[in-house]
Amino acid sequence: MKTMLITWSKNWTADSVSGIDDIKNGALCGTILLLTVFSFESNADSEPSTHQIEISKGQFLPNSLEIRIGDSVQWVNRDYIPHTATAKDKNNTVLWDTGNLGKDESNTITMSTAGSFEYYCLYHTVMKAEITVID
Amino acid sequence: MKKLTLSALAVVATVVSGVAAAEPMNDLEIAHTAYTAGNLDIRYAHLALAISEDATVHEFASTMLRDHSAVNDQAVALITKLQVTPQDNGLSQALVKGAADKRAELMSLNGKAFDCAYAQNELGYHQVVNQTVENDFIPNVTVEPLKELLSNALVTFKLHENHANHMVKKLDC
Repeated sequence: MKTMLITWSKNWTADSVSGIDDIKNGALCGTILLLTVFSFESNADSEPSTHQIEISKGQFLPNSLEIRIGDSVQWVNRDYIPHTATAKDKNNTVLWDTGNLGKDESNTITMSTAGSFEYYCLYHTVMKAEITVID
Repeated sequence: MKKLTLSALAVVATVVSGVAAAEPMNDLEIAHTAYTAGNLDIRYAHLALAISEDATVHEFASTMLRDHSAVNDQAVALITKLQVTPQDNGLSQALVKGAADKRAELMSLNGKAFDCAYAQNELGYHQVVNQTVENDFIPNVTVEPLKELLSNALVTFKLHENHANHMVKKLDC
């Protein structure tokens, strides 16, 4: 929680002795402006997060993930067989790739581009999932 | 080619169901047969990598090599931990004999004929093995770690069956 702004100003007349007197005789030409803004921590202001995706029984779990730009995703393989998490563009160019993950191995990738990314396992192409990166 | 392949599948299915129905298999026999089935697919994969020039076939065969080796390594680790020796049996022997005949047939082929024969054999092989693992082995295994290993392996083998199906379609056999 942050206190964003507290501002107040007050103009005193030459005759004023106390603030209350000023208010009573109306001579106070003052402006009291009090602004207190409490802002709760927002995603836009927070540190990047790391989200975990487990590869288990031939599936990416969760299968669909929405994250913010700058967040990272960690894939952990719990299967006996190796997998990858690989995204390619429509020209078949690799956008990102965890590389080979053996059992209990993991790799983390930071998402620095907004968009919706379908990815899959290079070895088992029926294994598909999606990450949406929000700006 | 399709008729021949369907016949081959029928033969494998008949052998497997016939031997399996003869008498119930114990845990050590099941372990032996599951391991043997994996090894036979590894041998098919080596053959495909040596003979085929098709990228789709190579990609599939590489996955078979990678996955069946990983599953069999887990099986060896379990057997070592349990200090048991898998038992040879009629079903393992039938699979070995059938695979030897199939390899001889595959080695007489090349080009698309080989690719299609390999792909269709992989699909049929995985269909039959998966049915056996799911309906016979897993329900009858008594040792929990072996049951868990087979259950996890079945998930992998079903991925393979799906992958083989895509391969057959992509090759337009």
